[in-house]
Amino acid sequence: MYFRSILRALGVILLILGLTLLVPALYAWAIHSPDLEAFLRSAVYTIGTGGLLLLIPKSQYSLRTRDGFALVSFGWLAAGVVGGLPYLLADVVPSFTDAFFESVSGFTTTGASIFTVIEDKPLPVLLWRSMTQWFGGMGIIVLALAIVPYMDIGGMSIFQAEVPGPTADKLTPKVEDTAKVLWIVYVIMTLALMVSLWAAGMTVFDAINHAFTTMATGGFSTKNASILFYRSPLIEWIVILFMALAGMNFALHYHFLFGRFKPKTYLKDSEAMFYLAMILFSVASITGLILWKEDRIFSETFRAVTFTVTSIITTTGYATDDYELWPIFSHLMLLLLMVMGGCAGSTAGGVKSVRIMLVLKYVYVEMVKLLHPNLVRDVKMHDTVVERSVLSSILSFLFLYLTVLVVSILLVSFEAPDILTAISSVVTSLGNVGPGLGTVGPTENFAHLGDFTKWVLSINMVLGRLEILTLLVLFLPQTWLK
Amino acid sequence: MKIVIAGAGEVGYNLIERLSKEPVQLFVVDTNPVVLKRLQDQFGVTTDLSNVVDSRFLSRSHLKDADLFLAITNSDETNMIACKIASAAGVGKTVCRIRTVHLEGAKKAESLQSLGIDHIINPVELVADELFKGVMTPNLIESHAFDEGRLFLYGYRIQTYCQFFNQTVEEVKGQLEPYGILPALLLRQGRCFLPKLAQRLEEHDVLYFLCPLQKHTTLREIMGYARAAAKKKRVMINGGGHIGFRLAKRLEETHHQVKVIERDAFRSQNIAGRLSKALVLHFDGTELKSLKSEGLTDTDFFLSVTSSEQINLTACLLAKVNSHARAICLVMQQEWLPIVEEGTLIDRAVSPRILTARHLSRFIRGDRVEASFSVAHTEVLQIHLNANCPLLGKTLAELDLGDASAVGLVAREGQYHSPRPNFKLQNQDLVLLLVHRLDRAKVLELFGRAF
Repeated sequence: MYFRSILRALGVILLILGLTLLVPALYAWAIHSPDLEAFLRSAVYTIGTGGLLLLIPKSQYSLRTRDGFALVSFGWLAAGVVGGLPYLLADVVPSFTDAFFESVSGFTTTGASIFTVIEDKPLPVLLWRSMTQWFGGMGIIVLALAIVPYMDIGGMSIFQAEVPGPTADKLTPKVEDTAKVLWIVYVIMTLALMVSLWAAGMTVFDAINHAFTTMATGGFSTKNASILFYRSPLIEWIVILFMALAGMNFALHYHFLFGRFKPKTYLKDSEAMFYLAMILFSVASITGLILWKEDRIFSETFRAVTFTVTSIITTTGYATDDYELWPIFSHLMLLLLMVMGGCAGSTAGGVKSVRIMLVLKYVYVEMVKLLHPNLVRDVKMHDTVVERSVLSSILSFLFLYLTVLVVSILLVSFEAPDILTAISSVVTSLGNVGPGLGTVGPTENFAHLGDFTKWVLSINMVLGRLEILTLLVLFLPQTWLK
Repeated sequence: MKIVIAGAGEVGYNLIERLSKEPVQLFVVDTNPVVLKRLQDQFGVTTDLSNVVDSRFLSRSHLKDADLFLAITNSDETNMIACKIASAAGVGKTVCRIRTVHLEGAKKAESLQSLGIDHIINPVELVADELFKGVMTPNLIESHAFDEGRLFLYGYRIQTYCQFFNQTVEEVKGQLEPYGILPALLLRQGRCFLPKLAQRLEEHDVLYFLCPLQKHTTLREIMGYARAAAKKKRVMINGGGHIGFRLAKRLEETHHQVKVIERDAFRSQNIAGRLSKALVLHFDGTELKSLKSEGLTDTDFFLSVTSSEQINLTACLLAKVNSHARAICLVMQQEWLPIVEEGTLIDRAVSPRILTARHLSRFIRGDRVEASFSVAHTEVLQIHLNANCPLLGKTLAELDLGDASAVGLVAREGQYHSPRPNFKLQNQDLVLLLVHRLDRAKVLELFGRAF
């Protein structure tokens, strides 16, 4: 471990975070909010710490893969703490645990909240809450790579550690440029959404906040009733569209936006197609079931189900309907979608569609091999062979995901009121979704859970966002040996 | 005509052997003195011991007035550079043998032009194409282009389910006349002759048609072969080399059920990655047990295309004995062809070298005829009449070609005319002659071509 290099890089990240804290501070100053002081103090603490870390003399070593893992993990934990500072200082949360939970839930784009009432919170706090999601969506390290020149933490492995999916797409020869390009696409899409929401009838403040949390597939809202508050089908459809887009690989959006707008970009990507097929299948089956069992209007049910399914599979977590009132089948479908999540390279969580798709293909190939013992066949995607090493890492990731899930459920069950809450709160945290079932359903929040549970869930969110291995690898003794 | 050949390998040797009988001037360039010596002794060609991509080669004068340059060494890159050099030196036409590099798609013509290549010849592609045709149109024994690819000679085997089976030649002729198709030659028990009108067609006969390219489907429909070809076929290919891979690729693209057997683990892995629907199986293609467990008995076609003809022969014989499949065998040595086709159960043998040499000979125009193709002892010759031809203005009835020879078709202004006795020959007519080998000299003399 090259601690000096890691700490210096961490200093840069803290500096960036501190500067972003100035945005809500500026807003607080503009609307003459009393919370200006809280934000200014948070910013000064953060920038101060970052500055101190940067005073450490420069090391001659640049970061290696293992240092990258440490940097990413510590970076995210630091972000959790920094993000919680304004909540504590503005006195909107009762304890550090709650502040950390809310902050981590923000940065990991989970969207699980401990706020029972949202509307009475100061506006700068709400803005900061949305901003944490927006920065966490594309990634803090990716942001640092994109805006800080010569950070000397280059290399694909660090990028890989933060961008979700089995393999990260390198869009340009230099990682720094790739990070830049991804952020540009992200900003363009966020702006487009902002304008659309504003045009559809939201206030400027709400449009900005919802654009941030939708593109990040986060799910924080400025209203208790979330998107339902606006009672506008148009807004709902806009949000559905952008949630679905945010759940797709941003590399595809890049090729689409910068490659003459060819629809083929999406149609030829098997992961995107698999993901859309999953959405369509879930919407069709759940809508059909509801209409069959209950007497409801088709258009409203269809919209509500499409919204919920898209919100859950992209791990956004907005709700326009209490899905706990739907048939049991849909509860389980939604739980499965929470585990699956969106596409690799997106802002969505979960195990990612591509992994599920490749494992299904792998199982199919193994079955064909039973019929033809001499058969030579590899799993293929986009007409190229998926290497064995990628497949085995996917399989071990899936196993690890299940292990973390089971262990966390056991831990949460110490304090949980019922089984459904225990299971769904872990699934929703590890998948970075937000709402669960039982006492953490779409109409409830996480405030009533015990402190221990909140810590377990916070760690689960970070594990889910960094896809487990990045964080878990730090617990291997070999990582720390010279 | 002056021809420069770069590369005296297997293909080169075959080609030189063929060309040495034609009145052309041959220059052979190679780096192997032993091979060149042998060529000099055997065929009396002029040879040049040098490297084609050498500047010394450039400075010599062969290239300046050459009409045709054939780059057929074993190296793609050498061939490409050689063509570039040759075209820069002002050669009439360049032909490049390319095996691995794929110059395809929209930029093909452009990239060829920039390399100074007029024609590409890809032996693997040729063989795969021939085998593919063997599967798609199993009754089409051979086909040969005339009139710059607008007219073809198709040899079809007559099966019992063919519409022409047991019909007389006259009946067949009557059905095909409106389409400008002519039943030209009949091959029966190894002997080829001009079909007599009263003759009935029997099973295993091969009937050769002169047929315009656009009318080929019509011909197949009338024969009743079109429907059989449209059926999805089960094909087993032994050998996943270049040829086996190309063939499998084409078959899977046309939605046939393909199994490729490859005994090399690494190679099978490689082609499995590049094929999508075809099943790649890793075992020795002469292992009967594995072949049977993979459904040898139900397969429609069995092709063995490994680089060893011993293996191909064994595998094909195994397939023939244990299934009703049509077996096609790849044979390297030319001498083996008749043995495999006539002495065994195997339905067909294909030789890459013969295919390549035959294809290359398309580019060569001897002084006597523009194109020719021979079936047993009968040759099909294409002659373009010019103003010096003594037969202009004469009717076909006035021609005395002997019993074993005849005029096949006459092409005039894009139209094909079946020979009628009162048809008059004109300047610029393209005449296709069916000539017995023994009458060749006599007939050519009649048309005013010096032998």
